[in-house]
Amino acid sequence: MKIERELMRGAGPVAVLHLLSAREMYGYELVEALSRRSDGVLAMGQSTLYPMLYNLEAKGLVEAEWRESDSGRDRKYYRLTGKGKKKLSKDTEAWRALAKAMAALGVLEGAPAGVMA
Amino acid sequence: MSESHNNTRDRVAAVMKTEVFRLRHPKVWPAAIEEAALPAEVGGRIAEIVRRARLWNRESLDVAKELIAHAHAAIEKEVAPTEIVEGLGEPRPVARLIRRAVRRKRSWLWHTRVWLLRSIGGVVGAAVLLVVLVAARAWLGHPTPKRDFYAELNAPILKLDDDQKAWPLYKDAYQTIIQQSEAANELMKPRADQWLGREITDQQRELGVTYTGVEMANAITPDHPDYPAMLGLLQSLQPALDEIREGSTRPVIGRLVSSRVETRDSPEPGWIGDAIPESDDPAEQEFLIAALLPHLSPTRTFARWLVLDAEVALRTGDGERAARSIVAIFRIADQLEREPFLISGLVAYALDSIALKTVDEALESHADVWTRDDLALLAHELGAKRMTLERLPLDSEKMMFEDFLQRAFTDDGHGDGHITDEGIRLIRDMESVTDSDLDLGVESLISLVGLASRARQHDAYDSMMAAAREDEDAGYAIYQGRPRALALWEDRCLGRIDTALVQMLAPALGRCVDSENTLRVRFDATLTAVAMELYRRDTGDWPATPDELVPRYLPSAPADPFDGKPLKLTIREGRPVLYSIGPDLNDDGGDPGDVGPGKALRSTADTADPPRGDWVLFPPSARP
Repeated sequence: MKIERELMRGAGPVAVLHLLSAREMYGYELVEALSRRSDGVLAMGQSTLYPMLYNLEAKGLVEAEWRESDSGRDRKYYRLTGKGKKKLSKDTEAWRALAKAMAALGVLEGAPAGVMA
Repeated sequence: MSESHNNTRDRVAAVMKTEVFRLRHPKVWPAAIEEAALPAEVGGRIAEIVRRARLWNRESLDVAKELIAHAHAAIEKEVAPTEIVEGLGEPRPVARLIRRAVRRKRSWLWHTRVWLLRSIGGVVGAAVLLVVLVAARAWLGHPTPKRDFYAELNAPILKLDDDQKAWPLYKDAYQTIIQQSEAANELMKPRADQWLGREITDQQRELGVTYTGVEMANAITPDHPDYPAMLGLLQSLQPALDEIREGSTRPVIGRLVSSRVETRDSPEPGWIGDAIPESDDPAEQEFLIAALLPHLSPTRTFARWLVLDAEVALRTGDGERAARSIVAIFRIADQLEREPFLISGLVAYALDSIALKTVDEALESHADVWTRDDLALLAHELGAKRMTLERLPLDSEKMMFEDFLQRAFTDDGHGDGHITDEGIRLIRDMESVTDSDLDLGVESLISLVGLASRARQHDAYDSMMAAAREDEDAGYAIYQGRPRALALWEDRCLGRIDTALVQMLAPALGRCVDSENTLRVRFDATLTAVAMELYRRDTGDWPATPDELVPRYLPSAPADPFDGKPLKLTIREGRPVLYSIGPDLNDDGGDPGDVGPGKALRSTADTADPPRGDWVLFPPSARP
């Protein structure tokens, strides 16, 4: 399923921050994880991922470090900063509220219609 | 891959890790891509994205390395090169996204510098664009004059018969006067320097500095040996003076308004050519400010000869002739005031001033020569003149201004338009002939072009005239702390190029207001002096206050312009002294102190430190 660009713009960074909250990851890992764990819904190519990572880095939400991997190749690993954690926590809450509201409206499953009324 | 190739790769990789090298040597990233030994299409796509991103070397290398690492990881997972290329996306948009994101990571110093450069560039660019647009606008538009102001001004004159116009008589009289007095000059020249108390050198004569007949005649007093010769000259001029006196009774001077005048190769002295009518097409006419007014100078000459005639008549006991000559000056001034030119009004004020001075001096020295009828004639004339001095003839100036606008600006049909190239040239011409110190250089003109519209000029003109009217009504109230409206208007316009054109007119307008304010007081004073003389003849004594002259001799007591109360009157050595308390607002008993007869009372004078003393209005000998 293809997600609208505007939706992706909001969801993508939260998804990346969430993945990095578990452990540090390099670019390709992130691409794979996003695709696999979202059943392809949040799949994104390098053309989307790297500009997004650079933006998160510019905002101080993630930090990166070049290291040699097990395969002997240099890879750039990203990890969440303190600021990134706070941001993730805040965004997660927002998404929950949004999901709850959508569910209440009957857009999402899990809550009876009319709860928000 | 050969061993030597591998060695080279290692060396390159080691060097590339040196930050100094990365910063100083461009294009390291292509080598890195090459060294990555990726499938050609993958390496090529990465190279294109990095190249298009246009980042610093260090940044380019970082991005290239990351994309290479990503490609390697994909290859290890056996992803097909075509799929990797697909994942990299279209080079142009991806490069743009990467460029923006990476630049965001740069230091605040860089961002500040970029912001500054962009701001400066924006401002400079906008200014250049504005100038280009404005210049193009000026070049593209052309004025389309439609109103024929010459026709409008001449229409009332053309409706009149010749016997209602003074100009035919004035023209003839002027020629006679110039020719006769030139002949007299030859007679009197040998002793002219001595008479006039100054010497004209040969060099000055070569430059055209000469005595005028009337100047010389005025300098000859009764005790002078050439006085009889001067009387003879005056006698020979009586037909011409009769023509002037007759002309002064006509409603208008009636010379047609034109920018061109008939010329002759060798004209007789005093000859003034007729006006050559302007084209019927306003577009082909000269602008109105260039209209020639050759009758103004003769009117000044007439006034001087009429004053001389009046003085001689008074000395010989002919009060009636003296009164008629003085009245003639007032009436010529009337004719000029009715002309639609501010400059004519200023000449009229000068003539009025000359006539008032003559009446004042005559009342002081030769009052008995005048009969009751003569005094009544003068009183009537002074009273009528005083009524016409209520308002400056400003409408004519607006006509001049309107004409200028129609020749300098485009016309959108709704009273608005923009400046044109022709207009800029006109302004430059005007700048060179006015005494304005406004900077209308090329740079300012560009601003002017950008900011001023025809409608804006109208607004500025109207607001300036409203300020002048306010000053006109306020008289000398500035000395009581009231700010001068025209000065406030000029302050508001300071540095504003959009009103520069109108600002050029402000100094002359201010002088007109001053002249009018001064003249009103002087008319009141001279009229009061005539009334006092009549009072003395009836009662044998001078009035103690101007109030005693009301209502038999005056309709109301003349007001002091400085406090609004009646003018002050005191008797000194058996003679009345009429005065205003003056700009210091203190009654000094008629002591003039530092107050001069006009200049010190200008509205542009220093009101914070006004001259001390009273403004003595009558008699003239009591003035400083």
